[in-house]
Amino acid sequence: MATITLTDKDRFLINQEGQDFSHEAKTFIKIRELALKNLKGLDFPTRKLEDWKYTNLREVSKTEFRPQTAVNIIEEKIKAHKIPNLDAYVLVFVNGFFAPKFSNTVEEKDGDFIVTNLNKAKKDFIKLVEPHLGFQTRAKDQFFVNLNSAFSQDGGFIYVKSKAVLDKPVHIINLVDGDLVASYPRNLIVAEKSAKAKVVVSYETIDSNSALSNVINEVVVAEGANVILDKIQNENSNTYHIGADFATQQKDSIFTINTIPANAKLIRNNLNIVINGTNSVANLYGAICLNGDIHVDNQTFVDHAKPNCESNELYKTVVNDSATSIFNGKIYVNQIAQKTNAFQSNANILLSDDARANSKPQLEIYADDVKCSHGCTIGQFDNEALFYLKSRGIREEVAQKVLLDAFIGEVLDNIEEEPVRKYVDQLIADNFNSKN
Amino acid sequence: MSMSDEDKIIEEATSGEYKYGFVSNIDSELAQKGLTEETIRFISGKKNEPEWLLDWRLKAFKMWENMEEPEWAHISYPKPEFQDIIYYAAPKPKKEYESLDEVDPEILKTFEKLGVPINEQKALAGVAVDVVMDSVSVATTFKEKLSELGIIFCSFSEAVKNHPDLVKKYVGSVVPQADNFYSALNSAVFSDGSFCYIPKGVKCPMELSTYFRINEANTGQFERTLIIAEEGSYVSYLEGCTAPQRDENQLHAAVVEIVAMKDAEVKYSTVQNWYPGDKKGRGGIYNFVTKRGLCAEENSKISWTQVETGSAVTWKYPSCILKGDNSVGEFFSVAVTNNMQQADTGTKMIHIGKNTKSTIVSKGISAGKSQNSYRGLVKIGKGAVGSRNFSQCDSLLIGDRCGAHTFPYIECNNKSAKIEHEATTSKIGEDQLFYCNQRGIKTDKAIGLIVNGFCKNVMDNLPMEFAIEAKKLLEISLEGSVG
Repeated sequence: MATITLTDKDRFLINQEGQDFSHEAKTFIKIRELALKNLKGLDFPTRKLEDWKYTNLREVSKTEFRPQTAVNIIEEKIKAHKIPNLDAYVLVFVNGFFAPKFSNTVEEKDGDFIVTNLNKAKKDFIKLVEPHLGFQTRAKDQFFVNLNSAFSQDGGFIYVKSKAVLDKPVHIINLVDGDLVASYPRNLIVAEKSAKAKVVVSYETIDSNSALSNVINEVVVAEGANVILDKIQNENSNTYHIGADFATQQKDSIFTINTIPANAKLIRNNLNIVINGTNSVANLYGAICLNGDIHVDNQTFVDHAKPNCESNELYKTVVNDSATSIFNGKIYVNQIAQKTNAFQSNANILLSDDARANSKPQLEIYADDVKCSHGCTIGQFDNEALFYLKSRGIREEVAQKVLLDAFIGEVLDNIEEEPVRKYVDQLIADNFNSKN
Repeated sequence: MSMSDEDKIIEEATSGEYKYGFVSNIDSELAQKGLTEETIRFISGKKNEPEWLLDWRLKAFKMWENMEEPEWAHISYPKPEFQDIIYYAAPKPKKEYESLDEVDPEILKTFEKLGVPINEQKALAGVAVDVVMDSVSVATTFKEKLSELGIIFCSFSEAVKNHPDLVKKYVGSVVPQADNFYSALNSAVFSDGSFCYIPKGVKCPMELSTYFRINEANTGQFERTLIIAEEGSYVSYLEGCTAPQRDENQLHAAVVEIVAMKDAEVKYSTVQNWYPGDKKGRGGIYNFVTKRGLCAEENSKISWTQVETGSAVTWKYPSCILKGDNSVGEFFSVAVTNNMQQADTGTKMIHIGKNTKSTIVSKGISAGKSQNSYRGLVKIGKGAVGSRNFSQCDSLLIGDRCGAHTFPYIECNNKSAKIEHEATTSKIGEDQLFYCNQRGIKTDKAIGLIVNGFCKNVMDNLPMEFAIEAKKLLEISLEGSVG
């Protein structure tokens, strides 16, 4: 008799089962079924795949992560993860599940906007969710995208009506509490014609147990809309964070994403931006300041599908201790996307002997009337600048901090909300100081 | 000028066809079709090779059998049928013309534009030449002069016979047999190639070129070149020639190995202008080449310069391993693709030694429906303290159906290293064209002028005569064969 041997993937998937999604509408169950079907033919990505060349997920595949509900979440614990002085609608998710007690939702049917959790929206606002959910994440070959599509528990749902403006930013707090928790938060942000929205999504952990966060943000930017998404990733040093962000832009729209990976054991971000309308702008910024032995892998993909669009990409990295930073930026210019302006820049500073930086700024261009450029640098703080500051009586550590602020500041200046900026500044300063 | 006029000229400029065609052959001594151990024994036997080289080939063949063709490059083409290739043919007599009058006037026109001397024209076009043909006698004089200095410059087979120790020591030392699919194939079946040895302290007084051996041997499709520069020596080596080369083999898998010792400098320049296939992409050469140089000891320098205008598919990454402290690697490249041509080319700079430096300048020009990719790796090892890299890769697009792509890999494991990389992609500026037109320069000439300006800092690295020819070649490649 042939024995059936389970692969790591099989065992992993079995661990994820046991959640009951049967109460969901058929259309949403279909998304899960399709993803499960795709997962059958997929496996954990290995370093043999070009896109995963520098990131090894062996440990993730071997660890018994499973979805768990949190127990005894008290307000005190949540409070610490709010951004001080930020006047915002707050949605709190713990281990991927909604925590209504700590959240303030806006669900008026006639209001300008809706801020609620996705599970509620799947019931109450099915007409608004259905056309968008899962639309951008249908890639058959992405293991972790399908994983989230299949097992996602809940997430934020933000909908802004045509010509409306979300009066305050929304802060979606994703927390993890417990041992070996697998959480699958999934946010859906829809900005209708000429609408405007600002969203801050933070991923943090309550304790120091190992966890897996497999997250997705889906953003729909309609004609003339403007969406700003800030992503703060500050989990404990035992957590694996594998995220994907999807945005599709229609004409005259602007989409900005600020990525701030501050802490975790491993962070992988996949940004997929499709500029599907003329005269649109996509901005991708990353401020990456790493220490310890964190491994951060940022992959960005900008698809210029229509003419007269612009994309700006700036990723700045400071790598300390034995941390590793990977940047892979890809700009794809379709044959019809004439008059495209695409800029991409990745600057890295290495501060220690064991720090590593890998960069792959990639251009694929099929249109001729374009201006595309990319640049990449790897180096150190300018010795002369350091000397200048030191010669004026500034201690080396302080001088380094000044230069760091100037270096990373160029990226952080794109964060519009002052309290968010301060919060991020503090995270980066803490990261930097813990070494010095 | 109206847009439609310009479009027309661009259309004309990018639709030129390679008019040389191929010459039919009278087959001579052929190996059996296909590749087996027997084939390799046959080749080795034909060449009277020593036992160790046969073993070396067989080892490579064993490895090759277990390897798969690489598919990561940004090119698509029907895979060659490896069992359908004849791996050994004694030099094929080419069909010869009685005099230049019989040669296609278009070819002659091109030669004229390139400024090829009349006798060389004959040789290249396949006209029967006298024994006293200039380049041959020149080559002989050169050889005498070189041997006085102790420089060995001969075919690979001769080197195996006359200098087996050197060959044995260095062959496969930079590009191991199992390095990649095509290097393994080459190691198993290589037909011939060039061997060059520059002894300690010798500066080679002239550019060494396979050009001078053009009538001596038909090096065939699996060429292998080995260049060794001993301490303090210098050599500049030229490969290929600007004039279109006739070639009947579709697959070319060459290997070039360079070893530079302490304080040695090797300059390797290539101009490649093989048959690119017709306008619809039928035919044309597959050029899958492994080129690598090893800066084995301190203060050594290896410099690659290439001008690639031919071949249907190019897959080529001349690389430098900077092992010695303070060693320097350089890569200057111009790659032009037109019609349905595809090129995936670039370099690898592996920094191992301290204070190593590398410079990469790559200029890609795509026209027609071609795809042109730069793919490069800069790797700074942990011990490569104070290393420095500068890379620049620019692409120029002519017409809206071509593609230009960049895939740079940058890996840094050392905090004291400095790496800069920049790349731009744009089309020929309308204002630049207008400026030229305004001064009475026709658009097709202007395109040539702008393209040459775009490539200038690469062309400046070519040896003088080569550079002049290459410049003209660029214009011709883009203008079409008529020019």
